[in-house]
Amino acid sequence: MKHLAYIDPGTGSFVFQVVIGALLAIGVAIKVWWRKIAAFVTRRQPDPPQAPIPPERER
Amino acid sequence: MTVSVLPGSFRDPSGFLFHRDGVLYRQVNRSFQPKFDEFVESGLCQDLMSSGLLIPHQEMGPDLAATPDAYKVIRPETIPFVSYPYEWCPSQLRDAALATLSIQRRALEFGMTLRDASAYNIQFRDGKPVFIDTLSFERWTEGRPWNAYRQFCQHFLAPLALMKYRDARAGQLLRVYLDGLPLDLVVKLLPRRAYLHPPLLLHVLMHARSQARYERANPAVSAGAAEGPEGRGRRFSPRAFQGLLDSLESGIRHLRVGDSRSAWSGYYDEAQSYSAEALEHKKALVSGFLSHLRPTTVWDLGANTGLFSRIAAASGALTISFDLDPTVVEANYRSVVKDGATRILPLVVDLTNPSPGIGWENRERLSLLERGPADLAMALAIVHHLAVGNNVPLDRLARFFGHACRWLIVEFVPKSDGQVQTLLASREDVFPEYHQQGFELALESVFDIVQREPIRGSQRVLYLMRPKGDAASSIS
Repeated sequence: MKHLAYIDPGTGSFVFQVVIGALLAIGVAIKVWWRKIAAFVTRRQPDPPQAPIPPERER
Repeated sequence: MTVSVLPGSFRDPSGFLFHRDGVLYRQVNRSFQPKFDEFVESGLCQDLMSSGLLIPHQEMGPDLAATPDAYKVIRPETIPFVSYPYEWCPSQLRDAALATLSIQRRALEFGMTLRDASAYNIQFRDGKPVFIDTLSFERWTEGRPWNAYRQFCQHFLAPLALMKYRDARAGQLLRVYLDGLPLDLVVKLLPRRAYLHPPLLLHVLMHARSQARYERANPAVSAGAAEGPEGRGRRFSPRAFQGLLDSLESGIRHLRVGDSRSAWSGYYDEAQSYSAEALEHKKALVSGFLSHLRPTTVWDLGANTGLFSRIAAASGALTISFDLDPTVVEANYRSVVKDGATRILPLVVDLTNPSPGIGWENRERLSLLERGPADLAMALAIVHHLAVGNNVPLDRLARFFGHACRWLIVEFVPKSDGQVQTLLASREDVFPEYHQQGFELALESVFDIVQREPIRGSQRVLYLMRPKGDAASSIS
């Protein structure tokens, strides 16, 4: 589908995004996996001794 | 019944802003009907308005349309004082950039995208950036890169990089380049160490090289080129789009300018200019004038970090806090953000060369005076800088104040004052009329002096003035 914008996105700017797109997508994927791993590791750690949480730290 | 289209609202064929009988409306043209309906029906419009990122609007009857090709007429909430990116300090431009990225992220969640990313689409309302162009949205075609990428880099990333790595005054370049700073120029100006931060390497240096390459090689339309040899077979996936926004955000967050002190930033703190008694008395006098007049808008001319702007804001006025030094405007804005102040807008403006009318027909962006007059202007500890420091004759100063405001609080600083002595230390005194009587005579060509109060503990005098012959003039 031909899709033209009312401002010129700039040929160089447009193609550049396509070129770096794969790299940026990999960056996001790594971030997502890293978060999953971190969440998994955190879940597996034994619970710390029960202590009341101060109200200002409840977020 | 008068209808006038705003001179700066003509580039986008989807609609335009106009005034009808003094009220601001936005017309949505019939050609934009499907996109506007998608924006509203997707829920994005309501989502952005409720989160305070988009200016709220009301749908009005079609009878208010300015031209026959109207689909809808909306009435957006009015921004009481329109400011421009070249008047913002680095943190204001940075917050405007982050707001634009948040909006784009939110849009993607709804399958939509921003059609442009002009810094002029952001205004400051209640101390926070808000997006004002309700017609900037369309459905995102999956696989297609961001149309607004070039504009985002030119309007936000490039000027912020120069402000951080070179000088905060570089923001003034935005006054010359209305569609943002050309990346090839920015590459010539930035130091190499800027590219140690990957987003700047990517979105400024490499982006500029890609632009140069395609400018030389092929004038083909971008949509075609993206499917050309380099882009063939590759699509810009949702994850790539997210990565692009992450990377741009990382670039913008990195570009926080450091704290630096200028010649002005310690003006009040160091008590060089005022004794404690004089400062307190001056505050009390200003506060008294303001609570008596109750202005809706105040221009604090030469506001420094905004000490007196805060007094004006406390009296209930929307206060525009002007200073020529981006460093003190930066400090002022950071306090506004920290305190959650909603009635102070700090801006970088040099009163000896205030923002002119620029852009198409010199009317696309309004001059400073066209955005006035304010109900009241405060010219505190500024007259000597303009009259002695910049050789502005006192009668011309009176004329400028007469254009800028209805009421005036002005401080006269005599030659015997240490600050004026400093200004005269390295130059010939060519100001024989610069004395209290000469000052009053000059100002009285435009204003009537309503009150004259010597500031205790100093040789300075504070005046309350109103336009000449306007005895009945009152603000509230």
